[in-house]
Amino acid sequence: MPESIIELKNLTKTYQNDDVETLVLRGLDLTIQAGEFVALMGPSGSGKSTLMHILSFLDRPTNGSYMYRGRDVTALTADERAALRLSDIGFVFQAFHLLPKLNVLENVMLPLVYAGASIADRKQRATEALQNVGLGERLDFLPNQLSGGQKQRVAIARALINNPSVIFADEPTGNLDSVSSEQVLGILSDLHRDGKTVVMVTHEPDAAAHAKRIIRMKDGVITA
Amino acid sequence: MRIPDLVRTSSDSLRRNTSRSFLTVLGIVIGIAAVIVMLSIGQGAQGYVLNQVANLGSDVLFVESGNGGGGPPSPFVQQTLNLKDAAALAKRGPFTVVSSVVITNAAVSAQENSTFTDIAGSDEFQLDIFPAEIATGRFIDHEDVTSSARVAVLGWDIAKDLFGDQDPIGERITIRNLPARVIGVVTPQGSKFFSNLDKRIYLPVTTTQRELLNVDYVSYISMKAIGDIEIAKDEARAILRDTHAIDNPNADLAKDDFSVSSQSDAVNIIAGVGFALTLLLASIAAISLVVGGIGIMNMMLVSVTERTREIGLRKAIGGTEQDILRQFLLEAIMLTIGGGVLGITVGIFFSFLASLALKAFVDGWVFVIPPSAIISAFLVSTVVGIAFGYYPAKRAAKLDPIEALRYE
Ligand SMILES: Nc1ncnc2c1ncn2[C@@H]1O[C@H](COP(=O)(O)OP(=O)(O)OP(=O)(O)O)[C@@H](O)[C@H]1O
Ligand SMILES: [Mg+2]
Repeated sequence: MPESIIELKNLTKTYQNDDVETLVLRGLDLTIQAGEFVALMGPSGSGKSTLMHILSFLDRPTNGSYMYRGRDVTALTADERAALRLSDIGFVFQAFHLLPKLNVLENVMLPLVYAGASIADRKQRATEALQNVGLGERLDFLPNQLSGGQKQRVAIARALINNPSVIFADEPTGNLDSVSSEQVLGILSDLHRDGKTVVMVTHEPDAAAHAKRIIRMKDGVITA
Repeated sequence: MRIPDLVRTSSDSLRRNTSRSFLTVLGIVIGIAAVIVMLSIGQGAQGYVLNQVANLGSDVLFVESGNGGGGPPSPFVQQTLNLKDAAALAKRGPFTVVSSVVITNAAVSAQENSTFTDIAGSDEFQLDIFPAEIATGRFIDHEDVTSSARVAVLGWDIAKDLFGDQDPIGERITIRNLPARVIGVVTPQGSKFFSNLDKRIYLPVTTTQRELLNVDYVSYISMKAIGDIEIAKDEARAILRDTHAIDNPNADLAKDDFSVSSQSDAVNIIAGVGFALTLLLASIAAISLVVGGIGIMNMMLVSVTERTREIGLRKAIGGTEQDILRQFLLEAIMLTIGGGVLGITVGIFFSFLASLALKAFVDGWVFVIPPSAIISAFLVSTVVGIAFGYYPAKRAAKLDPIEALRYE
């Protein structure tokens, strides 16, 4: 019996801008088991990214409960959420978000800097992570010297460097051609096989097909 | 984030923008350099001035006309002192030496040379107060003073100016229309009380009064006191009130038409002026550093905006608000400390150049860099970095990571 890693009950999110209230998530109930590979689909504006941000401790829900590994995380402070992101979460963004002035190795080492690892340890682990995504030869390249697919593989190496429990990927193939997309999806599938929990937002049915479960959203509610 | 990583992160991002970092701190560099130069010149000036007055010994008193007290003798003050005052002081006061002098200046000529120089109408005691060696011949004596003799003693430089390498003893010089015979030359003295003693011609005080100026005052009287200097001052005042017929039983200095001061009074006044000057320089410095600090703040705010995505990413992967705050604050502090160090270097360089220029015009000028100036410049630039770096750093730390990641 796998343990549930994410458990949402009646979760809502409201954005308050001046006098306008926008209800973006309208009472979500969702359970994700540890080790699942989940694809989150739905039309633009349905609240997928908003949900991902809450799940990954970047944002807080307005109401409802969020239990992470059996622990209520709705009331955590900013520092506690930062610590959880550091230890438990890996991010892959559609726009890569590599720091342009750091080389590939330095970009991948960055989470280890915040984790306080020794320099030798950082170098060794980052080099290994880059070899695992097939970029062992490009350690001192700058991001703008890489193709989109290579950038996303660097981002995945960075997401994995702290050995997180959950990988959140928000449209990871949105900016990639089909060959690069397949490479990235292959890596995510490998991670799932190695026991990581993977939550991926995508618009492409081909990409979603790699996941073991598809969650569909519309207008801030889960439809399937 | 650990401290070494913090330092490396901040210094790396400054180094990647070297030219911008340099331009940003230029205000601080100029501010600090200006402070160093001003403090160096200020200290040099104060040292020079103190040296001008501080070598006579603590038992020397001066009497001048007017009740202003302190400062060099002014030509605009009613001249109230005369030789009778000096005689009364010598007779009744606790003084070992009393010397009168009347200062003026005049055209002098000898043979084919002529020039314009300081004249000190002096009695035979002048060199007991302002110690000087006679190079050749002799100084003015008692007989010269009582007989208003037409004799002159030359300072070292003026002797050279008028006679070159020739021995001037026994030669004739003409001061205005007054002919006088040279009886002595004084060894080089340098400058004291802001006049070059080596350009001076000594005549008997009586000769100067009667034959050159047609007056009976003296410019000032100097004495060497026995015992407590404050008591000696009071006694000198009592004697002069008597000879000047001033009714002043409460010893109200404002009622006197003369003032008595000691060398330490002059030193205190100069030290006071020096303090005021330092205060003035400090406020100019403060203004320039605030302006420099605003430049830093402006640049840091631009930098925070430009690096919004970087900040968002750093927060997303686990950087805390503290981490971000420290990174940006440290960047600002490193900038200002770098600017401070550069400013100190530039300041020392220009202070040295200034001292070279001043030495050419002012005898006895010394190049000084007060260590306190360097230490305070260093501290001040750190404080400026913290003060003006904090707000931008706080802004960076408070950025919402979601907004920041979405920022284009
Ligand atoms: N800061 C905000 N203030 C107000 N409304 C917001 C804010 N952020 C997002 N929204 C709104 O929330 C809704 C959901 O946005 P979200 O980014 O989660 O959609 P999405 O499903 O990820 O869409 P896409 O597929 O286009 O990425 C949108 O209608 C959006 O306008
Ligand atoms: Mg989205």
